[in-house]
Amino acid sequence: MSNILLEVNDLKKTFPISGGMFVKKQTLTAIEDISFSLTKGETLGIVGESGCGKSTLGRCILQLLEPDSGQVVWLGDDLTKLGWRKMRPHRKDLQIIFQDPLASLNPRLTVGEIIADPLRSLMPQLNQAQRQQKVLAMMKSVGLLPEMISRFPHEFSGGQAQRIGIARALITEPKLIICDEPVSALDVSVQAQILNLLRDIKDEFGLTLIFISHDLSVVRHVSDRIMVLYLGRIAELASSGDLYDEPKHPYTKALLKAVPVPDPIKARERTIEGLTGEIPSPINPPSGCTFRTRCPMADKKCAKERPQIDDIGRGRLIACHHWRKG
Amino acid sequence: MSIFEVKGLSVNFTTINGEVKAVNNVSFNIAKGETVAIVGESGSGKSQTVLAALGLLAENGHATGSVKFEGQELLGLEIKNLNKIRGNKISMVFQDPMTSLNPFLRISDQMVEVLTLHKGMNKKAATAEAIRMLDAVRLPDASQVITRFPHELSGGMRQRVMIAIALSCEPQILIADEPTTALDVTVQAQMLELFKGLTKDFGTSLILITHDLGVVAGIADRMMVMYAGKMVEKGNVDETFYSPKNPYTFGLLHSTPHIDDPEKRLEPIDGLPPSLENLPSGCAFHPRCAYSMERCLIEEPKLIVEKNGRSNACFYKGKLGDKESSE
Repeated sequence: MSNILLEVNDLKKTFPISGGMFVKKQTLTAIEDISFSLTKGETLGIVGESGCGKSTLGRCILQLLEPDSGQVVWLGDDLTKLGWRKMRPHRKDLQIIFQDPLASLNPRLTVGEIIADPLRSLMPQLNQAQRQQKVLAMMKSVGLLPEMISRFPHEFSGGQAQRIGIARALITEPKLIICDEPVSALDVSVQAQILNLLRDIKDEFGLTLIFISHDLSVVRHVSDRIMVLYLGRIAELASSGDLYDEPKHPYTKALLKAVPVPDPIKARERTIEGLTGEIPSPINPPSGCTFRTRCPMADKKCAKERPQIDDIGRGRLIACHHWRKG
Repeated sequence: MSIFEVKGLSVNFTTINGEVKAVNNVSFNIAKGETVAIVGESGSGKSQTVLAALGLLAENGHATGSVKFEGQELLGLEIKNLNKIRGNKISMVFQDPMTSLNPFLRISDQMVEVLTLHKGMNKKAATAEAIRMLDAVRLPDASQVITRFPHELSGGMRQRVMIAIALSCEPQILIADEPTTALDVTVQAQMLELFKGLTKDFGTSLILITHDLGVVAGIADRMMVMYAGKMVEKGNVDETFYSPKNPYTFGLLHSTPHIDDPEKRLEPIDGLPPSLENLPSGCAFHPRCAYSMERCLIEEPKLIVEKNGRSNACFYKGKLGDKESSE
């Protein structure tokens, strides 16, 4: 039963927005009421449009941002209570891969130094030769040539730089990796290489992944379960198959319809009864259900009451007053 | 009947490392009312092709060849005469709606300018027309929005304003360079519907530059695929998607994740796109190509017209996709 690696309970994070002389101070609620658990070996996809809090959630799990309230329970320890010093031993288990591969690499360090850096700080017991050996083995696993070890990041293209980022995340033999839009900045042909690499290393190293992306096709391709966020809240959480085959939340339905399919006949058959309007500002979200301003099913109840997150069986969560009607 | 004809267009940039050929001998025609997509990865020359056609190249760039609009040569045309065409009969929407509007001017000023300049309207008539255009691109509260500054609008609203400006002179050709790349997927769907309506209702020809094959499938009639500055395949969308002839097109299609078929393992193209400063010999794609032969290293394949208006630049004439399965 101890297959659960990570448990997140009622996580909330707000950011203060400083006011001017005549402007009132405001707060932006980036994420709220986020609860889920993660089983060993699974890939959880987190999707949503810009400003939905998907990156904030990833950073709150890793304690790179301090959540306002809620728990992040990692193998029995609540990470939010640990503080930096006690958090440190856990850092080698929890790693992250960033969106912009070149910007996330220190331009003054060689590839070898970049990949070895986490070892130096998190596994200080290793000596120079052991580190070197591990770095070379890891470079091979992610498809980098050994002679690249003394080169600098600017000599690499986006795809190769992302391989360096992946090697750096993997080097401490983590249990969980959070991938924050890892392929969004890459060309299609290279994106496919990195997606396949992520699948392979997941199997090879027995990893658990949280895969954050705005691209629903990519998320579907890699995830076992998927969480759909809207303005910082869970709209729906379901297994990948359930979510795509039978979306229940009106937002999930609309999102799936809006995804362009690379197949001309299917693309023509689709009727895009897309959403009108855009995502409201998270500083001043609509009352009740935050999706109601764009929702085709919204009524008075949606304006008054925020929908509860219901567990409708098979681990499926949904936050909508009217999902049964659809 | 084509209204836009590009013949043998090449674009060179003079850089400190010497001449760089960004576009190499590209030819195509656009007919009235049709939507043509130019597809390629970064650095394939897809944007430079249309920028050159409109005389919008950076200072160190120069174009050779021929670009004709309704029979009139655009390359080398005096700026004064070119300005009568671009922004008026041919207009362009850029990728980034955040940076292509002037942050110091109200939306009204930016829209009225186009109309007074190209159509000789007075300010009052131009303002009314601008509001009508904003309504046409389905921007809610147009008469309110027009008094605002760009920073007060969201990304999708700004892109609608850009499209409204581009359309305000009723252009015959609209060129859209990655118009939805910076937008969220639900907003992207709205924009694509808007473009579809335009070509249908006004007979506008649309040149859509994109890297997203999903977008191409939904909107384009024909597509052209570019790699390292060259056009490698050209044809109607259905045939090109369902039976691609060029190994690069084949590779792109198999690199794209399908939302309906998640179990399928992606078949990426090996290696990386080449640097334009240091192109491989012969066919620029040969180091990444699963079908390359000795000939590909020495000789550059020409774009050859095949039946049904399809063209392909490749020496390999066998069936694509068989190689992997037979191995």
